[in-house]
Amino acid sequence: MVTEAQYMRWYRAAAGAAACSFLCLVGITILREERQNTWKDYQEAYRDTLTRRASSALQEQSAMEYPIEVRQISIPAIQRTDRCVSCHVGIEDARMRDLPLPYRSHSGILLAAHPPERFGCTVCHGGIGQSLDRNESCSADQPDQLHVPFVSLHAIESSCGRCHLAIFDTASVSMPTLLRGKLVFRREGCLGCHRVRGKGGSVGPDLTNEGSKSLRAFDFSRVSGPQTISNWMRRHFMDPGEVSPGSGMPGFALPNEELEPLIMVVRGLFSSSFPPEYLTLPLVKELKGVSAPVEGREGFALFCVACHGPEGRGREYATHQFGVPALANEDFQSVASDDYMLFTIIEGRGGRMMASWSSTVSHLQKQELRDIAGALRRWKSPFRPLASVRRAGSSRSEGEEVFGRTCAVCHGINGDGDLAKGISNADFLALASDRFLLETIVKGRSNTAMPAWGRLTDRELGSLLAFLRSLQTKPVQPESATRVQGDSVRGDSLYYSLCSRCHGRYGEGDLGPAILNGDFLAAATDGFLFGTIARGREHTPMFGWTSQARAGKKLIAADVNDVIAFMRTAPRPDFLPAGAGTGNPASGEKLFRELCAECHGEAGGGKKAPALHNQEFLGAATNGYLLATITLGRRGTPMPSWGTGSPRHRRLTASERKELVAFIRSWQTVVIRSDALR
Amino acid sequence: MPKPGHIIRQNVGASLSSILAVLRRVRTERTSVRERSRSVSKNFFLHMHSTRTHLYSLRPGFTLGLGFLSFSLFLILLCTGVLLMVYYVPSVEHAYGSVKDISTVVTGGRTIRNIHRWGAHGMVAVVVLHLARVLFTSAYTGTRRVNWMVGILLLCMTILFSFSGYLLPWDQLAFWAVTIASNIVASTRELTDLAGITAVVDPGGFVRRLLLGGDSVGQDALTRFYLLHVVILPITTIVLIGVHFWRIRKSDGLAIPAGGDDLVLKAQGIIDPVALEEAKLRREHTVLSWPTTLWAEGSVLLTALALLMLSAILVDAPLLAPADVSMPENPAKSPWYFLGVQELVSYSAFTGGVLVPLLLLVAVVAVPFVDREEKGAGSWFGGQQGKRVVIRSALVAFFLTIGIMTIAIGVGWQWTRNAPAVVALIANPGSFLATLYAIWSWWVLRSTSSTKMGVFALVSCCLIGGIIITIVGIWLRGPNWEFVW
Repeated sequence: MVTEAQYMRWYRAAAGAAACSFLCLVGITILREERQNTWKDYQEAYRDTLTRRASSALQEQSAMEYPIEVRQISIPAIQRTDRCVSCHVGIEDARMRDLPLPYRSHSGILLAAHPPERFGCTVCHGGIGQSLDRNESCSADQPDQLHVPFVSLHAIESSCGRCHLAIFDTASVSMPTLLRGKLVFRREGCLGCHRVRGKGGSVGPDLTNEGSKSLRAFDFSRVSGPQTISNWMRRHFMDPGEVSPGSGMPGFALPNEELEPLIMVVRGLFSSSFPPEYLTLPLVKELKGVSAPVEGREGFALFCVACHGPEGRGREYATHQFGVPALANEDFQSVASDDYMLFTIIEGRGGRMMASWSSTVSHLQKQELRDIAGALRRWKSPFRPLASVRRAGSSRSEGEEVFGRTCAVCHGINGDGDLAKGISNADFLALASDRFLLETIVKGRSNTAMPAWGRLTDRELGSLLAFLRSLQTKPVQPESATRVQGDSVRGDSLYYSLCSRCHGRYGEGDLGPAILNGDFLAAATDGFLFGTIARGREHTPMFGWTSQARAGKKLIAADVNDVIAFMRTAPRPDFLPAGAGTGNPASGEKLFRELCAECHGEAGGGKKAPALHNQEFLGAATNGYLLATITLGRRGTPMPSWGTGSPRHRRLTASERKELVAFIRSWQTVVIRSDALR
Repeated sequence: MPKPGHIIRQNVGASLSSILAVLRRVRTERTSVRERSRSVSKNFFLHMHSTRTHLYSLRPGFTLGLGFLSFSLFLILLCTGVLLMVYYVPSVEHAYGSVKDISTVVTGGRTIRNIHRWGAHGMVAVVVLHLARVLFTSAYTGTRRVNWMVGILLLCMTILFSFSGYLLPWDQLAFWAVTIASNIVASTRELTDLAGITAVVDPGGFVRRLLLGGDSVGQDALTRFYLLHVVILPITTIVLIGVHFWRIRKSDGLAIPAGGDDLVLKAQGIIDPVALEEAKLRREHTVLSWPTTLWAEGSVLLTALALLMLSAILVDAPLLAPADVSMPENPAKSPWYFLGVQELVSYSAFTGGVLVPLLLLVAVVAVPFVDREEKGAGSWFGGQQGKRVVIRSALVAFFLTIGIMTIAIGVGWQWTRNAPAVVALIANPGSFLATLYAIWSWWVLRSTSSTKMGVFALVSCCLIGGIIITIVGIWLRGPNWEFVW
């Protein structure tokens, strides 16, 4: 058993040993703090340099008194405390240009515009400003501290983006690489799938804060080469499916001088939490969501080009997994109305790659969307006024030939009417002036089967006019621009009770042509309308409403004026009525299965051709659109012209085409009311 | 009657001279008994000690110094904690930055912070070991029962201390660990959801909201945790420590085995039974506390200090990226003392997170009520039988735990995934292990007809099982589950 004295010895010895080791350890800690503080070494060496370079006794004196202490730049406004200057002591002293790092003064001229006391260092260079340990503060590969990546010098321009990079502003940035990258970014249509600062698509991830992602946020498991953010992006741009399996992003085979600036721009995207006085005005506006509206062609480049191609060529359905329609296709441009374009842009195509770009989803304003839809018209042949057509001269026989190959497929030989109304009608030709005819031919009738024939040359147009005039039997009524006065409210009820039976509830056309059609009303004068309503068209169901002959109710001139007044001011519905041009859907089904299913899919789901069994498509495409597309085909794509026939495909009669349209229309189950039409 | 001032001067003088005497390494025999006992009894800071200490209590192998080690760690933590409070700012915007500044810029800050962190981890471990020591030496019987309860309370305080301090750096580690732990607290909802009474009775949710001051970990949580950590818990703990020490006095010092006196005297060569009895009455086997006991305690304190200093030099306290609500740590790990619980929680939140810890607590609190045997109290394992029981229970727990964890991790515990929630609640590794330990302890109790053995069996099982699942949680979860201390 141990005695008290033994215990005393034991415990005193133990306490003594513990105390000694404690003191030793304290000493070791103190020494370690001295030794490991490399910043002290740097500052001492700098002091020596200052002393050596002193050019006067006074300077030498102050150099010797240079304090060795922790130095920091503290900027509460941006919540930064940068202690870089504890080691990088000479950063603001221009005399130190020739010294090695870390004594060297800052290179370049940027420090003058970005004084450290206002900006600090980490704003541009990244890294952990608060740290005094070199590995932590400015090393590129600290696993624990990667929440603030240190920006390597070759990518330093990306930091400029924090305050300077406004994507939607057309003004150029002054940093050359960012400028080049911004042009590439705006040209390649990245925002078709990605969103930046609220605008863009949602197929891919939001890139608004891409620049502040740390190294840890990137998956490097399939990236070879240097494990840096720039390299990840490089590889990703070249082959997204390899780096991010399952990604639907197409590869961008850009040359180096475009790829590197693009990477810089993407790394320069920050949703800055800096106070507004640090940011440029366009960026402030962008972050607040009030930047200037995107102009049409720029909008197309920003949002649509990635899928639809810069020339609007789209992607062939036969060869790509996801086909994209060719917007620049001449036939498409002549058949699709502005309503169709805007409807498709705003509503998208449900279940397909075309997303909805409505304001709530894309944050693009309606006017911007309208501008983009308008920009698509640059691939449409322009309108020619009557004067230029007249100058080109004409020939009736030429006109007959043009008519035969272009118009007869719908209007019948000699214009007696087939699929479309007969234009050889004497009453019609008596009222229709050359100007009216020209406008109708060149602009078409939107949302009906009448395409825009701007592709015809002036001479061809003039000859057509000459031919049509030669069919005339009754004398021409001179055109007058007088406007009638009427009561549109009365006209509304008159229209509803008398005209809508044949012309459709919304004037979209049924038995009779579409008369509340914008293009028609723009081309037709009030005199034309009055003459048509009052005297009718001989040999057609349109009888003269002011004559006793077949009119159940006689209209007087004032009534006709009321109807005309209503027609001029009639509000449009917020959906697209299907319009004229249908037949028996059961027969249409047979035809579809026989002729169309091979490309368009058995249920119209789209295989080697666009999907037709799609509610948004059916909401945008009127029966007229469908008829015109089937009749004309799309030259340059596998869609043949079924109106004229081809070696591989037979010619479809008018009723067959209408049956097809009826069958396709039968797939429509909902009526989509769209903002595009309000 | 001497005047009061005379007494005070005398006592101060006595204290001072004995201190000086000790410092001058004057042999203890020269200082009088009276002076030595007065140094202790008249000193405010030391009078909690009895003036005499039993020699047996001074044996290092008996108590292992664990109790005083816990207290030393507490003192060190208190001092380093106060020093840290000089620079720490408990606001979500500045907390991380202030801790970063402490570790990088403040002179000695890094060391103080490291000592504080490693001391905290150490204290949790030492307190648990102290509990084990007290249990296995049956030092909870008779009058020591109340002190056992106070000790359990102190254990809870320690864990709350560590938990509340864990959040304060406000880095990813802290934030997500506390998020996990607070969600575990709310897991009583599993039970109340089954019963459909969550809208009315939701104790877990209540405690969670109480802790966090809201529905998620934010500024309110930080303020409350800071308040807990630097005001409520320290005051409560100091008071409880006072009670703990006072109760030791009331139980006549640390527990010693009944035969302790005999051993002492036999070592001194007295074997005659009559002389033995007389010697016992004369209390020759106690020594004056001053200065022996103080040296014993002092060596423990200094050793603790030295060890903490060493760990502070060798390993830096971690500080990960600042807390980011949008980027959860994957995986998010609780502090190591909760990892065993987290392991069980991964199979059933309620059972692993609430039920098993509660059962453990109840079991440990109930120990002095279950085991009222006075025989064998004060000696390790109460004899050979106890030693055997403990070793056997440890082996049983070892194999059972490893077995079940191997099945759970190796094969997977997916079979309850599509079963109704009740099944997952009842059939999971936590409940299986608890049931098996209970069965084993019951069997030991019956076969040895001794409640003490049953208690030993149960606690040994829980200790070994707990260690194993904690080890699994820390190191054996796979490459992504790197644990940060």
